[in-house]
Amino acid sequence: MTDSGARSGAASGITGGGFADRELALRARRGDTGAFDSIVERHHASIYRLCRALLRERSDAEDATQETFVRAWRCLGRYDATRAFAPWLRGIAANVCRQAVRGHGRREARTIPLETQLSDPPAPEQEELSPVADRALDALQSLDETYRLPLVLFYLREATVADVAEALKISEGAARVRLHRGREMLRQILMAEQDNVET
Amino acid sequence: MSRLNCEDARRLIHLDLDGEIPPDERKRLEEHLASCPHCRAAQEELSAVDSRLRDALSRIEPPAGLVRRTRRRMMAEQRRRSLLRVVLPAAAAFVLVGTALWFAFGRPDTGRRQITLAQHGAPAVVLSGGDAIHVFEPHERVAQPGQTGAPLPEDSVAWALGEDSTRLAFAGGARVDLSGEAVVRIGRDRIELFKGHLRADTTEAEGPFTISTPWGDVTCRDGIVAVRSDGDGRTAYAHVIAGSAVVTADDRQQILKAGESRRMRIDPDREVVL
Repeated sequence: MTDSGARSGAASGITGGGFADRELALRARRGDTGAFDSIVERHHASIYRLCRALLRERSDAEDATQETFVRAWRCLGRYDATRAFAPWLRGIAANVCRQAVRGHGRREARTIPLETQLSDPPAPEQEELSPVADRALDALQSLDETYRLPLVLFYLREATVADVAEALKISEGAARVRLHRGREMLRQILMAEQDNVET
Repeated sequence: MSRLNCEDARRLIHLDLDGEIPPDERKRLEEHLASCPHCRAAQEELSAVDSRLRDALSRIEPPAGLVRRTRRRMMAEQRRRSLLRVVLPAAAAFVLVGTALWFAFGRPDTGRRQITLAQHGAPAVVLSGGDAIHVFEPHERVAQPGQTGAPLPEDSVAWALGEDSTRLAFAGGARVDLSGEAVVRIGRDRIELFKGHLRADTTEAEGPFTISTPWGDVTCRDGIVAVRSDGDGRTAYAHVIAGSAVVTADDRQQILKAGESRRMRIDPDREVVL
């Protein structure tokens, strides 16, 4: 399934696979690994985007994406099925990235199962992002985590202020304030850059 | 309808970008922008930020094979957990024999683990031990006997043996005492208790610390909480000694204050794997 297909499915609550996220999560909780495969298929692109925007390095983003799904699988019992699934999953990804940023120096001590590394090495490096997109992500990176996380969560497609609040477990008001301040900070940074280029 | 000032206009510009501006407020904003070049410039710049972020994030494409590699990692993780589930009962006997040998012939050489595991990589460190702490490190099949000051890697499964308690110091500042031959898994800001008792002191922790159990979860911040599992493996008790803690069990969340306790029954739908 393409990511855009997944998004439109997620928005309508039903996907090409025929089940909403919530139903898949409940099936996966009962041990249906195929249901969780569908979740991975459906959300891997948006989770990778989130991780890449927060961590910048491709290898870190891939590792964090994988870790997000491993943790989500492990913690499915704690998912509250009365709430939307995507913000819950993005909340896990945000935590994984936060921990990755704090533990950057510890990376050497982390382990990925040897059999995974040997049997399926990561894909070769791909094309860089456009310079404009790269600069926007660099500017984002320079913000404090308090503002960076809400902005990234919000600008993932289909996200609302309520989704940001849900993922970060904060009130909608707090999410809104952080978004507004973060946007203002980015405006200052990007406009200052533009002035430098022009002069 | 009153006219907007620039501060209110700026707030409405952001609400517009959030997709949350009410129609009547949009009308007021448009009227203000028509007469205020300063706010108009701000709106153009913020819209540009909005477009650039949307564009930048939409251009990120996942690498080929990411889904496949994620599945493989999950399968490896499941195999590891299945293995531990099988190994755990047998390992208890193994640990007892090992402990006897340990006392009989002196402490085994634990240097290898200290060399290969960077101190700063550990989410927790054994501050002081009872008789022994034995650790299954992530992805390893052999338990290593621990010692005072030994670091514990994230996701390691540990058995704390002996009459005395074993004290762990977490990198985030939490202090945890294990007793009753506790079996735990070490996390970065959490510990999972499967057997035995623990006492977590989070008064000097940087953030919330969670004690996760098959019976429920206890999250404590700036407080001291004890969690005790019953011998029958069906019930556990959370008791707040200082501060407060949030206890989630039986689909119910409750804030406990100092001196209060709650009994937690095992959730039949909750998977208990090591």
